[in-house]
Amino acid sequence: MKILIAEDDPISRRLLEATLVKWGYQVIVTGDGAEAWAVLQQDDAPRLAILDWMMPHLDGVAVCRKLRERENTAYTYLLLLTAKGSKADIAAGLEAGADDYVNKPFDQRELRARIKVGERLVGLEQALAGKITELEKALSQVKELKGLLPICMYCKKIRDDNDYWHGIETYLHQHTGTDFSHGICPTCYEKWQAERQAKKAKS
Amino acid sequence: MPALPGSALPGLAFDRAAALAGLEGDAELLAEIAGLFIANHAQSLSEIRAAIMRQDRHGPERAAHTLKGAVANFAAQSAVDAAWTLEQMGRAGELATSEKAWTTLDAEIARLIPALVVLVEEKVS
Repeated sequence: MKILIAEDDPISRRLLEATLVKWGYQVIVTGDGAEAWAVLQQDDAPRLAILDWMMPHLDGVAVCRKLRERENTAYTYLLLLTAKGSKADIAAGLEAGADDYVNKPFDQRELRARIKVGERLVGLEQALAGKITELEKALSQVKELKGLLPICMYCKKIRDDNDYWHGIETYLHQHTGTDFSHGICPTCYEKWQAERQAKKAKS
Repeated sequence: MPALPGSALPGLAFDRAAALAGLEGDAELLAEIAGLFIANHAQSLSEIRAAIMRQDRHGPERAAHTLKGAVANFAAQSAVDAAWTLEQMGRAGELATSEKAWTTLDAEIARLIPALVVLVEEKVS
């Protein structure tokens, strides 16, 4: 998984990078909030970002705020890295859109656990987005059947949008994926029986 | 036997054992970031000093905050405390009384650097 780190202090930045690489992550390194924001706007941006709180140009909280203001984009999990101690500061960071925070200097085991939480959440969001796409596709097909269907009152063929007539089974299969198992209803069975009897009687 | 610089004894510049524990025992990485700090600390200190000199109300806050984060990686508690004091003063705009805090921070960093140099040299040799 790709992880973005945004940290202006060269020591903390190197520490984070080395630690994440050791754990097998692909790391995108930036030195301030403006650089981080530029990366996060790209199409293939990392879905998880670790942002230092205090940075030049754009701080971590501002990056969180800007990212959450964007609509119709894939979710990015945001971890704030902070040496700020106060609960008010931490609450402000979470209210701005951070998903979690880690105190500096970070405990490696804790950081790894919090990143794993982020990975799970990103995975869930991706799965959900996939399901929504499938459902929207299915819904668009269902809608075609909800409108008025031109149907022959004699043979029950259905006319499509291109003026071609299709057997009802073919039309439904094309639009819903439905398959049919053919049987005979009681009314038609009685009718068929009666016709058979009549033929026998004639011959 | 003399205690190693930075071992867990009061009054020493940094706690080597704690710093290593924070890096899951990665002595090479500790030496690497020590080298980075040695190379960059002067700029951090001069940023803080310059902000105090030009009476920049909140200038020391960010620079001291960053320095605090950096020295915390070495479990250098005295330096962390000194940076924290200056950060708070910067946040509160209390520049008039910051000279003593600056002197303390400068002294703590001056104490830390030689200890880190020893650490780097041990790794290199």
